[in-house]
Amino acid sequence: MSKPNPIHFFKDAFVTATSGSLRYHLWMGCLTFLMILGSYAYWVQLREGLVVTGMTDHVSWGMYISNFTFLVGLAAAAVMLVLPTYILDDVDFGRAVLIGEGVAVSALVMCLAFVTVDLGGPHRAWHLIPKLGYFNWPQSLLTWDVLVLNGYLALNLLIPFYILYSHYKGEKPDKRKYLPFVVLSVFWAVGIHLVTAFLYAGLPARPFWHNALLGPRFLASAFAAGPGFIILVLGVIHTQTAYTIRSVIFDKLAMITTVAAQINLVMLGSELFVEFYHPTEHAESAMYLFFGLDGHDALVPWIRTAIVLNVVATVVLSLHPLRRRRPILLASCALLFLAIWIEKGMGMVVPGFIPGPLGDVVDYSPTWVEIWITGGIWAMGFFFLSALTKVAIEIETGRMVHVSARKGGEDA
Amino acid sequence: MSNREKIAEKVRQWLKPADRRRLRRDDGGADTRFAEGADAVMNKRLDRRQALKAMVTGAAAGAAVVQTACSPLGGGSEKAQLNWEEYFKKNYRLMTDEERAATVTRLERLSKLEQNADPHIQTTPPQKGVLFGYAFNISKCQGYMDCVKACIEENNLDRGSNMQYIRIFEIENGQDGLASANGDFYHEVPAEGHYYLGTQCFHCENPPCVKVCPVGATWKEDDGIVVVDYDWCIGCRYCEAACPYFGRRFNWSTPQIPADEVNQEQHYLGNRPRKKGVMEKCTFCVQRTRKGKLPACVEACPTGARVFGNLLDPDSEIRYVLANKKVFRLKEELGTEPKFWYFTD
Amino acid sequence: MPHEFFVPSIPHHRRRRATSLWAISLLLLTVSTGCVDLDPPHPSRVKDTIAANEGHAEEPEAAHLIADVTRVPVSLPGSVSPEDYFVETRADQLMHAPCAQCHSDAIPLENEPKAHWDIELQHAGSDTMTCTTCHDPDKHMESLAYLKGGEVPFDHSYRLCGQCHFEQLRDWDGGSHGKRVAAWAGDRIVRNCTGCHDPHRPAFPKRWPVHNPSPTETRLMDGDGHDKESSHE
Repeated sequence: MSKPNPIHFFKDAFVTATSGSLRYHLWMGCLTFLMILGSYAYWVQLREGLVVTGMTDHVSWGMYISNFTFLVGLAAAAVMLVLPTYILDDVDFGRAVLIGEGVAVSALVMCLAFVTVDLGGPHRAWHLIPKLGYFNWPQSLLTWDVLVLNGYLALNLLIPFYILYSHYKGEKPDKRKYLPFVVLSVFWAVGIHLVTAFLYAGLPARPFWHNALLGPRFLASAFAAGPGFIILVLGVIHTQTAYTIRSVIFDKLAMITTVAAQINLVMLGSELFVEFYHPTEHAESAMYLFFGLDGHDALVPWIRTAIVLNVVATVVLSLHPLRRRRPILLASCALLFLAIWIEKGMGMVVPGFIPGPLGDVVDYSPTWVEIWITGGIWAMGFFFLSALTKVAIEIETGRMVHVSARKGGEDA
Repeated sequence: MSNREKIAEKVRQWLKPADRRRLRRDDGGADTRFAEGADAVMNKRLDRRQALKAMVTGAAAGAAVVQTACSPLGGGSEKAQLNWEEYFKKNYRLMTDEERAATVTRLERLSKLEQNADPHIQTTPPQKGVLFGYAFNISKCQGYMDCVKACIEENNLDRGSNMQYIRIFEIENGQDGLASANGDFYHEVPAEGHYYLGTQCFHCENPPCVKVCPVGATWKEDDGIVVVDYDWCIGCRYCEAACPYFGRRFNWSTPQIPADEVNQEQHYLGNRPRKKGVMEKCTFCVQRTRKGKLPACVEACPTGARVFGNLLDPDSEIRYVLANKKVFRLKEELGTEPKFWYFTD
Repeated sequence: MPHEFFVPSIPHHRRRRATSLWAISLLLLTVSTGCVDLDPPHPSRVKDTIAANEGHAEEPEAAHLIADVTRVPVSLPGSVSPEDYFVETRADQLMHAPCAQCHSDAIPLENEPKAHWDIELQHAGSDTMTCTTCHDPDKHMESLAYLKGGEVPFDHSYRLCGQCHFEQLRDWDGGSHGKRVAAWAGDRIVRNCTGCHDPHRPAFPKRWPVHNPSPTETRLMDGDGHDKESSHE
């Protein structure tokens, strides 16, 4: 009987992640197929340049950065589970928190992938490595983002790894060892999303972004979409695996989602009031977004859909009898997720560029290359999430344990 | 001979006789002194990079083999070697004079190998006591676009995407601001009842684009020109989002310029041809203005609507404009302090 | 104990710790505000930069750039022009002048402009200007003539124009009107009025732009934008 070491752990984890039911393989196969499509599209983009996207000098960020922004929020939302579980000793969340961290890791991997595909010269990305390249810190908010995202990724890999590895060894994780990192990650999570908001809010060139509410609104929408997404994932796990999730977890998560969605709506209302009560030149982006400008209205159907979904989901969630019914909860979480994805992605990034600084109104719509790449990266995120979740569940349910920790000595 | 000695030796070969003389004079000693000095610099600076190089040496060897194998004439290996060294060079701002000379030599050799072109790439530094400023007379401009044409030709702009640094807006008399401006006009000019206003990079004193660049690939030089190191830019386009004046352009695809139309008098930070996936912008024609010439747009303007000069010279035309004319700048409230003023007769 | 009433949930030792935390924070705040002299962030201004660095120019050598430009020193009546201030010559570019090329005798131009029928004067109104407002082949067959009758060499035609266009002359002299030639550094050489304006029809003509603008609607690479493309010659 050998002593457990991380190599055994990763070997067992790999085996666990690559084996499963037919349905699991089909699911992973579909994701792999989407990833291959995305890779092909990325190859086309590398060969031709970003000209194959819908972006122009006028709208110079599009679908990639939209998704990046949204996913930073999703990653940050894991904190909503981390905070009560590890610090406040709320055992209810214990089973959900590893899933939440899995969501965070997957979202961060997607974030980094989206930033990479958006670069004009990904092969020169080493210029970003401090010391080796030239890291324009602290002036550039993008360098802050690089730091906090990678740091957050490390934290969210480290903490679950420690806990899962301890369980794998059949030991109880030592709270004194991981708690400091948990505390750090709580602040860090708020940090990643504020920093990402500041990335936009720090640009006086774009009045649509240049407002102090952007950061808080990012947080509110993230804490609505994030736990909402985790509810969906837990719903799937609850029905598809042996890992049962207690109702009280759903209730608590739903409460968090609801309150955040309500705050988000209040902030949206506040923004709409300022923009439209006495519209200035700076309200033109909002005008474009909600009503169209100079006959250009590519985003109008999107944002109106998002607002309707957002309001419906928030109202439904706010009514206790409705929220307590699982199918309605899951459906409204899905709507909310979709609404915030539109609102914070395309609805936040793109109108910042329209009208341009010199008054040009140029529509943006993604091309097939962007859509395929985006699909590929989302597939990659779900791929990671599925694998991580599977391993976590198998460990937590005691099915993936190191030989030395198995009970009853049946392996002898 | 050690690797470092080889590099130092190469640098010395690359230097033009004039540069070598100048460096010798700066060193205050004989030629050997320079070799030692360069060696010392190399020792210190190459360590980090060599670590990275070592990490990927295997890949390099592979690439070189492939390159050689693919090129029947065997000229590929030199090209691969040069491209390899280019890939690991530093941010221009951090380069020593020797390193700048070395990269210019490499770039010139590469254009010879790849396009059979003979560009001369300067590295002329900013002059002391010079701060460039620009003024644009909105009473005079007639919308002829001679400036646009001159700029495209001087600065080797991408003909494929019809890239232009300068934009001329047609604005109805009695209207202010760019909201009602037409930047897409193409008809006989001047149109009745309209005036014309040109924009380009304003070379702000507080450039928002410089602040946001994550890799420091764009900066403001001592003579006030905001430049881009095309070989250092990673193409994130944060600067393009940060510019309040639409002063920056991105190479969405590989730029296309007919070989016989390439301007071979180039500057490292100026009009040397760009690659796909990097930012570029107006540099006040740094390749011309640092030599005392006027920018191409100023020279081409048939109406005298464009005034250019040294802001630190109290007798310059630009200072006359600032002292005697009613001037304004775009979006002054942003605190960017453009060095580009508009004025009327 | 009235204190217990307000903070009932915090045990005694914890409360003391909380108090000391407050004290430390307050102390830190006081120290930091006292020691750190915080300047409000404000952007640097061009005019401050100019004021701080003015007047030590090391301008690039520009003599070779202007070597080929034929020029004469500017001389404005009633003022002393700097030594390095020149205007492009005019006389050597004229096809018809001086009048003595063709005419040996004085010609009264008012009545008989037959030899120059192709020149249509579109300068001010016909009741304001006529050929003899500037030309006087009667007395000045080698030059132009002031309104009062004095001689104005073709190279210094700015003096003639400046009789009416005194504001433009002032701005031309200062540098906001007109056009500097070749170099911003070194000797200042400017175009003559006639270098840009046709003296017989000084307004700039209406014409097509020499280049089309970069279209904002579609990029040319997209395929459907080709209708917007025109040759860049």
